[in-house]
Amino acid sequence: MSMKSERQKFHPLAMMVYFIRDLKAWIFLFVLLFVDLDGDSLYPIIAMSAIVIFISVKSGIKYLTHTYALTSDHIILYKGIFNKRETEITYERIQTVKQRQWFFFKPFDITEVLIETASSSPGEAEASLTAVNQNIMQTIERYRSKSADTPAKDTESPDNTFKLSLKDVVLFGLTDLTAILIVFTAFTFVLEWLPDRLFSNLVSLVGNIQGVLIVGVVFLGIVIVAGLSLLKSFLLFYDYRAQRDHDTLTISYGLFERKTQKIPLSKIQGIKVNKQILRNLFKRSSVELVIMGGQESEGESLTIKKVYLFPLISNEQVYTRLNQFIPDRKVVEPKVKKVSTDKVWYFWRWKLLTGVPLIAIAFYFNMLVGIAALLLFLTVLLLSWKKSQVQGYTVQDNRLLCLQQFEGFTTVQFFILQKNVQALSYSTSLGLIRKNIGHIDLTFKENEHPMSYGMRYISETVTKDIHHTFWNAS
Amino acid sequence: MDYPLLENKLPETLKKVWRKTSFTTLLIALLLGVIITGIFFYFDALQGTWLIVSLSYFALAIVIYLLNFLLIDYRYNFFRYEVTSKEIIFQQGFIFRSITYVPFSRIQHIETEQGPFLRREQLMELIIHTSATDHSIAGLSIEEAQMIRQNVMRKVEETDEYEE
Repeated sequence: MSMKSERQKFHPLAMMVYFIRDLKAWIFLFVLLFVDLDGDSLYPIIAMSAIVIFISVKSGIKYLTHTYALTSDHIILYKGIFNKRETEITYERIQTVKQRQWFFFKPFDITEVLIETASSSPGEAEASLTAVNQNIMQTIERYRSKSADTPAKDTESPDNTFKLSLKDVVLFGLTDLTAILIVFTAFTFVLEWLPDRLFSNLVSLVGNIQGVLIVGVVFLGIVIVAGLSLLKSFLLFYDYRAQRDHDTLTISYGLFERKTQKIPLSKIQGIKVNKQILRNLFKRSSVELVIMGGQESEGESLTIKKVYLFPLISNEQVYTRLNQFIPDRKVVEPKVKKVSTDKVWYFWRWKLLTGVPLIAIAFYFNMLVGIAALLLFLTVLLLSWKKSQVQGYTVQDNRLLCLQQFEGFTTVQFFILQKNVQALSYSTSLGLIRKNIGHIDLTFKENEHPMSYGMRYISETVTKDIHHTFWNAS
Repeated sequence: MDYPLLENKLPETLKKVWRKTSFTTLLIALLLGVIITGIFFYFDALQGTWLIVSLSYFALAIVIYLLNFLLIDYRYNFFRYEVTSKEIIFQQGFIFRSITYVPFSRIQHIETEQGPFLRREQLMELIIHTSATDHSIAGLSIEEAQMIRQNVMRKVEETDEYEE
């Protein structure tokens, strides 16, 4: 068929996007020139205008030369003046389709469509339709569902939409442990940075202005970080929606830059149910999806690196809701069999071997440093003890494996189907064989990287059980 | 203590290849050490700490080589593979042991590679790629490598029908 007639340019607003992106790349030079802008010299201004003109021309050329064509079986992108390049993507190879709408796109019903396939080339999304009419998304979805080999079943229920309540957006921001970590480090930094004299004054002189000031500064710091964390949470999760339509999940979020992501159920590699310590206090879990495909690495500041299905959801609802959204996995609340409650020693032995001498050395040099090191060491031991107590697994329906782990203050339940495991491996070492202890690792693909998930120091009976009930069952 | 061993051993001649490879690695490591030590010596800086660093580098290189060399016979026994009706299984390692299962339906493509030492012994390395991982059988006779490759490719095509 003739493709030429269908070749189309993007909406002129694409120029604006190209311009902004290029400007971002040059931003350091602008900063440099601004710093240099003290004299009467015209050069910095000339240089800046030159860059702006250069970028504008470049954006114009890009707009004129980047074109696309949509046919019933593939999308083709054209670029280049002298060195012409055509990228052809068939619908069945598409992993996810994402939509990104800049605020200045909204009045014109324009959007950016990002298409990802499972190719291993890292970097940005394989294809970006920089500025196209919104209804192109429907066209793509229509072509795509036609090329899908499994007929779309009518699996809809009235309960197929999830919205994040405002209360939960706030809770998400306030329980963000990375933010709390920042506060903590800032706090210790401030303490470190203060002279000792002030420190002792602080204890006795609450009425002292300096003391109040310091407490005030620390308090202000906490408020600022909490505020920033809240702001970030708002910008990202404002009007967060997840929805299932037949075999496709649609997730949309964002305040200024609204993003929409479409994920066919069959492309989901795994599911993570996270129960972070703080969020668990509020009886909330969060659910993350593991998806194959090139994650765009354009470095936007406000993108969620993780793909959340439910950023926060109440603990009682999580499994039933998960089942409504991803029915093909048939997830039920896992009855986790703990596998390493009696193996704390193995989780500790290397840490003891390296930690104890280090603490001895620390005490030798300085009492305070020693105590700090000891506290840190005890925390590490406590966390790895928790790890040994939490680790477990269960096999559901002979096809879905659930592994439970404790990772960085979070109990993670990872669900994966046998067909999504690329390789299964058992490993052990000379010393562990005698005790019939080993490790298990499942390798799968997340974004464009190989990832693995497994269990440490488990007995042979457990590996055998997993091999029989999960790996060899289907 | 009964560690399961897979069916197929690799050809005996692979030991020769491993010995040569480990010896070549040692030579390169020593040469590198000599050059760097020579530079220090030339600038009269080969004293104190640097002398100790340099000596321990040479000692370490030789110890690693000896360990590697002496363990080849043991290691050889633990490098095995097996092709079953639905998957290919790899086994490796003597001190740190692992067994890896790769179902045919996950295989993306197969590669064979042959370095100068392997060519000498008429061996080939077989590398199997999935969409996330690479797995290799360190050395196989050329006929065997071809046979496995065809075998596996046929099975990949068969199982492909059940894949979505």
